[in-house]
Amino acid sequence: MNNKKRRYAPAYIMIAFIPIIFLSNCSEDRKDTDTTTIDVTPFYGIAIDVEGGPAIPVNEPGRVKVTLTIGDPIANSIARLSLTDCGSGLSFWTSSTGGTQISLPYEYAAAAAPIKDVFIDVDNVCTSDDPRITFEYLETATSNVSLKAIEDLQLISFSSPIADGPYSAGITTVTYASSGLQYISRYQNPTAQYEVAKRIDISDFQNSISTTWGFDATNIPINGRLVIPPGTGPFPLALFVHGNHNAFDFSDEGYLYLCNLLASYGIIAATIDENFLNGLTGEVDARAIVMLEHLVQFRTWNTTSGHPLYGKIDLSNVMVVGHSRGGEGVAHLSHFNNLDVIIPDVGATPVLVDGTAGLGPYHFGISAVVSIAPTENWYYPVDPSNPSQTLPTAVNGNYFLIHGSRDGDVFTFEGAIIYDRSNGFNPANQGTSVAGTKSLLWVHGANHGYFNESWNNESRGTPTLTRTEQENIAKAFINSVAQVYLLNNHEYIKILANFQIAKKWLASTEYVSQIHPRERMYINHFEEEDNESTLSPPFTGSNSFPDLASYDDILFNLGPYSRLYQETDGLVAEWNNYNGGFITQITGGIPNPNTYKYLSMRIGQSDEASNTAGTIQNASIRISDSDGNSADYFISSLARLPYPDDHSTTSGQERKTVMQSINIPSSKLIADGLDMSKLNEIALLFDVHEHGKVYIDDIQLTNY
Amino acid sequence: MISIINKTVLIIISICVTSALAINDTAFTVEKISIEKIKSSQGDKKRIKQALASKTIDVSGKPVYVIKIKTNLPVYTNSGCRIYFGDMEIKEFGSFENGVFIKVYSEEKLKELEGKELSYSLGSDKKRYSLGINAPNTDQIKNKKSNYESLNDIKKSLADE
Repeated sequence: MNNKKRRYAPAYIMIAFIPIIFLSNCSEDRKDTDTTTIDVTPFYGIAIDVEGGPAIPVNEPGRVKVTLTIGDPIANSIARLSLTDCGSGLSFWTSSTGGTQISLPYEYAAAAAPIKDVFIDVDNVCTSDDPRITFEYLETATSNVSLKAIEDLQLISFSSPIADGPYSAGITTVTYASSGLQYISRYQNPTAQYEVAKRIDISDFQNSISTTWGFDATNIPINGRLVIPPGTGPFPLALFVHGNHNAFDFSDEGYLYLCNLLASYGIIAATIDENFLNGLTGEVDARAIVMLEHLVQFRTWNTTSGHPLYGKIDLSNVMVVGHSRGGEGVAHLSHFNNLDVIIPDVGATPVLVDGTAGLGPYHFGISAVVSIAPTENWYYPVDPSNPSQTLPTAVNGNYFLIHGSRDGDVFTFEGAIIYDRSNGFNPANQGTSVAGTKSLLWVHGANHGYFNESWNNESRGTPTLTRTEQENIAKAFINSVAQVYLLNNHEYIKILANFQIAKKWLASTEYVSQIHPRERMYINHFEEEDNESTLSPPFTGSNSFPDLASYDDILFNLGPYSRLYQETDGLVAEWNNYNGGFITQITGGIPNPNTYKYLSMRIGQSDEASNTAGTIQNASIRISDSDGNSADYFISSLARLPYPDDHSTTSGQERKTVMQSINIPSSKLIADGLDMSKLNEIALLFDVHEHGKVYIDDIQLTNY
Repeated sequence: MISIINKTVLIIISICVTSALAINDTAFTVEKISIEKIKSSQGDKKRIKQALASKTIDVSGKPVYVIKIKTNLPVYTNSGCRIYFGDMEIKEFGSFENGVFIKVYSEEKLKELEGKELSYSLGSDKKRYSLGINAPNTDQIKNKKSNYESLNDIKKSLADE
């Protein structure tokens, strides 16, 4: 949309979650009747704003009829029409010729006829300066609708990542185990040809294993369950590991539901036994070592002629998935995997892991690391280049994190710290890419235990999703990670970037997703010291904050029980009276502007008093170029900013603020008349809700 | 600044609580604390060499000291607990059904803990809560006649107490 003056303000309709029609101010022209049609095609969960729509002269007596034709409705959806800020100026009708008047707000029932046509009669003067009609999908359907992407308006058809894949008919499950005494009965008789000849010595990493097991840290077994797709391969490999739990309530089979799903898509998947590490402290490095030693065993079988796995495994294409302390462990695994010598702790004797002393060698091709509700601070690896120091826990590569808001165990959501650290960069010289793409999913209502089929609901005081609902969420997103990074079905990155695409297969709850792609340029990462007014190099320009009630550049870490327990600097902005904005002006242009497919940022509301409890927050985004063109979008047309969820702890903890990624396609900006090479202003305008407080970070150009 | 015992000070813990933690939950207690000696395993011997800063010393007859703590500290949660003697965080420990154990690989390291107050913290919060008990004096172990063969014996002793 350009900035030419219009006699009437344009009408926008944004359909998805909160599409809004802005109605024009007064007009000097009088029309007795005006009929126009806006064709709105709902994208599943993502709004398409139809610009250049009709002006609606509502501030004059008379009758103006506007027909909203809502095409391709989502069947069985529930929607609501409502009118704000306009008194009794408008009325809605079911037919273009009379019909029944609709009382507002009007809620469409789930089983009613799909929303198709709505008719608006303008009968009286609307005195408001800012009348709005809101059309909101409250619930979305479960039908297998094809998706129409906002960026290119091309149909994208995803098969459900929850459903079994093409290999499902022929998968087999085997048990592998070390020979000798076993403490879990299922490992006493492994499947033929899957007996493991070796045990390993992890005493340099953990030496306090209970003798209850019948072995100590010097003769740890390699036990697991393995699901194998039919065919000769080579297949990618996924490895799952549990976290801490009652050591006598075995945790290792809890991810078979995910192994079965991945195997049905042509991925060899194992879930491994680390029960002997449960009930300990100082064991998280050992969790990573044991996992790597399982990979060593798979390499042995993969190169052993005559073994059923001979030549079947592609060990250059591995995904590791860890839950809880295992979720922290896989981050350490990604670091240890690159080493031939590991110093377990500062001052400890170095341990060879090059294959010469019983451990290693490693150097597997780790295509993706996944943490399910991870812990963060139970181990810090020693810096190989400075053994007197430790390194922060982080992943340098493709990383995915999933966590539930009602986690009653790791209720601090400390994995956000791993996420923020991962794929780190030098703020003063950010470059154009990092080691991998990271993404996260925060699920309202999910607990800690239900990600593992053997664990129970530990959350207390608040209801959670059902086990099936939570497992389906894990299936959808972990399979999507596998599709992207193991199977090269890159389109599934859209699910990781925007949960709304997958929501039709999932429980109705609030989701928050973030993505930080490998290729990116930060315009504002806010990591500069105490100066919120400057942009991130190499971008030049300035940030301004007109009329905000307050703003500040802060570290988003106020302690583990606070609303902010992250490791990033960002901007906090508070406004009143629909007034105020955060404006980024770029003076030096955009390097390689055609390289990037999205303009992105992350933003979230808090549980502070400025925000209304239980209400979706919203704002406008205005993008401008130096030729005077601009385009306006509501955040609600792109994503939701849910009010922070309740949590499971009894006292003292604030509700977590988790920022949502907002990704505006460059193709959309170009289609709306902007010249990306002349992009010169990004404005967040807090003119939708009367008051609020949001946390903003990482305004960037991205490519995924 | 919290000084940290590295892994040359062996530790152990255990417990039986699996429920979720409550913030500021101070319901955890210690019923008994003692020091025992056990014969060193192969893994222990490596740690003893580290503790003695020598790779050549004969450690075959050296024992491992085990601080045995009967307690209900939450060791089966992932957010878990940390334990401290004075300002020293115990970085590695193991557990039995009704207690935790801390392995210590030299008498010198054991002496560093002597008389220091035992406390714990929960999850990522480093706020410490006293358990109202101190590490035993090493004299107690020197005068103790009977020693155990292995951790399993200590486990049994915890169950019997």
